[in-house]
Amino acid sequence: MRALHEIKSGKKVKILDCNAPPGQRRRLMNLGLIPGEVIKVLRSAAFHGPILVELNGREIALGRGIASRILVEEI
Amino acid sequence: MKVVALVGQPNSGKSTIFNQIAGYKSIISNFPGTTVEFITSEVKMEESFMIVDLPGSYSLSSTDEAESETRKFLMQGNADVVVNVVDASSLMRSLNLTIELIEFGIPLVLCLNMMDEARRKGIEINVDCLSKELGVPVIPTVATRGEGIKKLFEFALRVAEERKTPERILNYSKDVEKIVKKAEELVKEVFPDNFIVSRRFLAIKALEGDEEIHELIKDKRRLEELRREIEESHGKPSDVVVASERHSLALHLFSKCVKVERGSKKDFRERIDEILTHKYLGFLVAGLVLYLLFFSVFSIGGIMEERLMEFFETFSYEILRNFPEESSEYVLLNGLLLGISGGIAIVLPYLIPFLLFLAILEDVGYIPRVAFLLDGAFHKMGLHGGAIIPLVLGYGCSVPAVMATRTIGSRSERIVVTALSVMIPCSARTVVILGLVGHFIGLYAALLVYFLNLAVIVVAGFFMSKTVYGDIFGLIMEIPPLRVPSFKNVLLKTWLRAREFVVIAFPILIAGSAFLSLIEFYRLDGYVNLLFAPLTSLLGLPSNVGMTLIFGILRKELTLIMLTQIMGTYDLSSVLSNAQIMSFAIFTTFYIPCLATIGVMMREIGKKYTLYTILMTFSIATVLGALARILLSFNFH
Repeated sequence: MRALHEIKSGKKVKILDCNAPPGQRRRLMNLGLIPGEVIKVLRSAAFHGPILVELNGREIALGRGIASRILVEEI
Repeated sequence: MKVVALVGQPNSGKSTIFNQIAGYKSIISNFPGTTVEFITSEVKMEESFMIVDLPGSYSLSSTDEAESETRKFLMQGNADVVVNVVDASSLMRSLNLTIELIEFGIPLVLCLNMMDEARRKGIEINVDCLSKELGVPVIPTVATRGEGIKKLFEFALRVAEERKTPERILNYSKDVEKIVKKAEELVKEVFPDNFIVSRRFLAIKALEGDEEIHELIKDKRRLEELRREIEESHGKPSDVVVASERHSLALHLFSKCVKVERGSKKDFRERIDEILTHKYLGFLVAGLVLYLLFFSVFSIGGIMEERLMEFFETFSYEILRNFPEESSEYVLLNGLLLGISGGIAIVLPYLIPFLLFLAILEDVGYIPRVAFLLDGAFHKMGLHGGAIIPLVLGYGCSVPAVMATRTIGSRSERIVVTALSVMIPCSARTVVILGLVGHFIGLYAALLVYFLNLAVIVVAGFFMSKTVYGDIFGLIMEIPPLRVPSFKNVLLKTWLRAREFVVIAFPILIAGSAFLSLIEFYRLDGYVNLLFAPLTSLLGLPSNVGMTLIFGILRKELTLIMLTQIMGTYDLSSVLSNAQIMSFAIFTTFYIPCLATIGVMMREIGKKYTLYTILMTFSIATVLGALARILLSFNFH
C-alpha cells in the first residue's frame, strides 16, 4: 500500500482508501475516484506540481497534497 | 410557461445545447430561493418555454457552490422538467449524476450528448436498453451539429406536460436499502408528503452526511445510529458506501447497455495533450499562446481602429460643420460624437477579437491545462492551480471571474483569489492598455504593463495568502478532452459577452459624454479636477484627466474614451508624454474594480473584504502609477 503521489508515471494502480476530509473526499468520489477503481498515472507537472491520472478515459489533475492522502496498490 | 432546466456535469456540452436552442436571445435571470443568476432564454417551438442553463455539477450534493445552487434551484420547484445532459463518450462517470436525479424524483429526460465522439471511441450505447433500465426517456444528440436537439425538447415538453417522474427505483444492495427505508421514516417527520423532492433522495442524502439535510432532520440521534450501522457493516464512511452503491448501479447499467468495441488507441489528440501538459514544453507552448493572443488582438485591433477612426472623423466633421462653434449644440454634439465613436472605434476593435480568442481557448479546453501546469508555482504563492481559472477568466471580465471563485473550497482562499482576479486586466482594461500604450508607444510597452501586472499579482498573492489562511489541500480538477471548438458556439459566446458590454456601456457612454460636454460648456470642470488634483499631480498627469478617472469606476474602457474627449483629440501622443501615458494606463489597470464587479464582489465575499480590496487596489495603483511616472520621466526627457 502506497500513497498515490509516490507512484511513477505510466503505472496502473487500484485505489484502496482515501484519508481526505469529507468535503475533499466527496469531490474525489464525484469524479469517480472511489475505492476499488483502477487509475493510471499519466505524468506530473514541474515545480512539485500536480499529477495527472486517467480514469475510464478521462483525465483528472490531483494536487500533491490530496494525492498523498489517496492510498493505492500497484497492479 | 414551462421551465426546462439543463443539468449536467462540467464539459458535458450543456452550454452548447443551450446555445443551439437559445441562441443570441439569452438573458440573465434570478429565481426564487437561489442566490445566483442563471442564463435563461425563451424558446419558441410548437409551444413557448423557458430554458435555464444551471451551473455544471458533478452531483446533487453540496460540495461546492455551483452544485448547491443547482440543487436549491430544483428543490424550490423552479423546473417543470430536467434535461440531464451527459457526455456519451464517458457515460460511466456521468451516470452518477443521472442516478441522483432519478432518486430526486423530478420529471427527467436523459440527453446522450457527443454521440459522435462516443462512436469514434468505439463505444456503442443501446439507447432503448438504457431508457428501460433507467425508466426515463433517452435521446441521443450531437449538440455541436444540432442533431437530435429538436426531438430532445419535444420529449422534455411532453414529460413536463404529463409530470412524469422516473418510472423505476434503482435499488441499492439489500442491507443498505433496508437502512434507506428506515431513514425515510425520519424524512417523513419533517417533509410534507407532497414535497417536490422524493423521500428516498432526502433519506440517502441524510445518510451521506449532507449538512443541509442533516440540519432539517429532527431525530438526529437516530440518524447517527443509522449512519453508524452502515459504517460498521461496510467498514467505510457512510458517504463512501453510498457512493460505491451508486457506482455499482452505474457499472451494472454500463455492462448491460454499453459495448466498447476497441481499446482506446493513442490518437493525435493525446499526443497534442502530452505536449500541452509536458513538464517543460508545456510552459513554452503556454508562453507562445499568450504572446500570439495579445499580438493578434493588437494587430487586428490596430487595423480596425484606424479604419473606423477615419470614418468617424469625416462623419463627425460632416455633422458638426452645420453648427456654429462655441454654441451649446456644437459642444454637446461634439462630446456625444467623440464618446460614441470612441466606443465603437476604440473599444470594439480590441474587445471583439480578444473575446473571440478567449472563447476559442475555452472551447478547446486549454485553460484547465494551464491550471495543471501552474499549480506547482501557485502553491509557492499559497494558492492552488484551481485559482487559475478565475484568474484567466479575469482577462475577459472580472464579473465571471469573481463568480468562478465559487468552485474554490475554502472561504479564505476565495477571498484572496477574488482580490487577485479583479486586478487582472479585463478586456476593458486591455482596450486601455493596447489602445493607449500599445497604439502610441508600442506593443512591447503594452506587454510590459501585463508583465508588471502579473508580477504585482504574484507578490500580492504571496503576502495575502500568508496573512489570510492556513491549510490548503490542493487541486482536484477534471481535465476535459481537447476538442475542436464549434464555430457557432464560439461566435455565440463572443456575441453574448460583447453584447453585455454594448448594452451596459453605451447608455453610460452617451450619458457620460453629454455630461462631460455640459460640464465643459458651463466651465465647471475646474472644480471636479481640483478635487482630483492631488492624485493627478502625483501621477504627473494634466489636471483635466481627473474627470476621466470617475468614469473608469463605471467602466474601465470609458477612461480612454473620455480621455480622448477631454483632450479633444484622438492623437493622444500629441498631448501626453510617454511617461504620462504609462502612468495613466498603469493606474487605470489597477485602481478600484468597476461598479459591476464591486456589486458581484459584495455578494460573493461580503462588504468588508470588498472594501479591503478597493483600498488595496487603489493604493497599489497610486504607488505604481507614481513610480512609473518618476522612473520613466528620467528616460524620456
